Amino acid sequence: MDTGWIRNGYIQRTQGRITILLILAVLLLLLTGVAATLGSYPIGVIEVYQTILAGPGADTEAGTIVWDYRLPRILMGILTGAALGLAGAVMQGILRNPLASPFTLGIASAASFGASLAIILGAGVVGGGYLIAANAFLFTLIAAALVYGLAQVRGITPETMIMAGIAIMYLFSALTSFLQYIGTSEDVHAVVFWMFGSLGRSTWETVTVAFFIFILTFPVFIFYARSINALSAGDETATSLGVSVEKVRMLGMGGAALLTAGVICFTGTIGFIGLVAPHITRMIIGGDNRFLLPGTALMGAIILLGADSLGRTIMAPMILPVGIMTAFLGVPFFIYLFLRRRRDYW
Amino acid sequence: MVAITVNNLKFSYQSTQILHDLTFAIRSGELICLVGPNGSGKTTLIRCIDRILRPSGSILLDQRDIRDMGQREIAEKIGYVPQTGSKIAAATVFDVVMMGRTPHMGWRSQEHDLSHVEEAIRLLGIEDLVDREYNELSGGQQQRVLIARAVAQDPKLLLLDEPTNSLDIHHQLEALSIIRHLSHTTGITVIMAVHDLTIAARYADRLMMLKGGKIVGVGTPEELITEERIREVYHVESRIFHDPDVGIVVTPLRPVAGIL
Repeated sequence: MDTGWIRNGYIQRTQGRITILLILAVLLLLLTGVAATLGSYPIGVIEVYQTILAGPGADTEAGTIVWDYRLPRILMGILTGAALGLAGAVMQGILRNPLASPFTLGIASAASFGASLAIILGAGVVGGGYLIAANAFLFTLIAAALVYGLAQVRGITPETMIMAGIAIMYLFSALTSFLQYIGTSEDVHAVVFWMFGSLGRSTWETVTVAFFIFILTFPVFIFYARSINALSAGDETATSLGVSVEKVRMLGMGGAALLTAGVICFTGTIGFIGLVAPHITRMIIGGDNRFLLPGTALMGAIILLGADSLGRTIMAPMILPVGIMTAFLGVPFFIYLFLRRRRDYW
Repeated sequence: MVAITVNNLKFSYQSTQILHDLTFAIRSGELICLVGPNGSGKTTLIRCIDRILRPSGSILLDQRDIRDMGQREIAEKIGYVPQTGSKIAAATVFDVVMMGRTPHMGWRSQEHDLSHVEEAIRLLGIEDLVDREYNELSGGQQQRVLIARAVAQDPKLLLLDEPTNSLDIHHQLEALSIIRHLSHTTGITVIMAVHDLTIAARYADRLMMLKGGKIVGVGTPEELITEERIREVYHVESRIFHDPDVGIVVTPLRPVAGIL
């Protein structure tokens, strides 16, 4: 019997997935242009692209506005959405759990504790303007290391990692609450504001740091995409297919923690996107991580940039924190997709 | 030619010893059925051979100790069909069968990877399922998909853990015929755990009977399956018939009195 149609179907699906990736990339580029027009100083979309293509240092008013003020925020938004989305997709893959997100390992509460420590006690590893960010970054990695240390005692399985993550999350939440309890109301307000998540603190330096971490981790994830695919069939099957289960899980967890730390140390905790961007992308592009991972990075960037753009305009001149906007925007969209989905994924 | 030699294989979970000093050899191209009551160590033995578990003692595959082989090399040579029951998230039947090529392919799948996948799908007769979500299938369909995945893996040694468990009698006979056909035409060596003695006797070249982690006997169905041995190993009174078409038929009658 001729089975060529099976092969052709696969090739067509693959081409379809590549097309979806391209469409998402174009959407992100368009959104970038639109986002750069938003603000009190009026600049048209065409002028924005011309200014961006002209490069930095053009001595015009539009050039200064776009390059010094708007682009750092936009690029940070793109990197933050991409990092959180990608980290979420990786966590869901290696933990085989649809509820996993970058924050499953207690990362958000660890980052909040690091920031609180800096805000309330002024204590931290690095002084100066990046005290809060350095603290948040450090404690995020400490949380990941603790989860790894706890989990590996009984073997790195999804169950041990999630249990350890929950324990670490409560530990750091309690520590943060303790700091808030002894802190002044002004400081506590600052901590709460930090935890909303905002792109308002973006600079070219934060963009650079986030960019390098992304460039470092993204190829590793893509390289292991097939291994993460095999993990979805269970540890035993993945092992029998030649996948080093613990190595992939450790790399995935470490990479996701690093990726998340690299952005939320500057922006504060932005929840939801790391949980939802992978699901939305999976519904559109399927479960093959070779396409799901880059797709989720693009999708996360689009959602976050879109949310921030709306947050800047919807109640202008007041700017709503992007952490709040992602939930307002993402939840209805997610529920819509969830209700009309035809396939039983999890 | 000997495909696999096992010497002094022992395995324990914590303090409970599951496998006691197993030694046996299996010829290349043979189809061996592991039989024995629940908890006799069939599944554990299969996992040890695939090095999912790390036993003591040696397992030689084509004269090479599998401890000296990398995980990927083992995966190129040994295929494993676990019992069904676990879900596979967001994967179509095609994706699951394609997974079998994991040890052979890089990031992109080549022409011959697709050929193996197509061949496996055709062989198991699951063409009409390729675009379905794996989680949505019935147990029997999932079983056939998992066998197809192992076939696509193109192994020298195929391990199956109760592959007929969730199949109706039609699909049981069909799946086992496919496995035997594979073994006899491609020379692939097959070790499978099977509960039903009649089915095992019908399809196996030889049987290995286990009880309490020890080998009770290895031999052809005629040699191994006797009413006395079934009473000893399973604590069941039975009657054995010889059907001219299917060979040995085991009819269990009643549990042996006085055991409970």
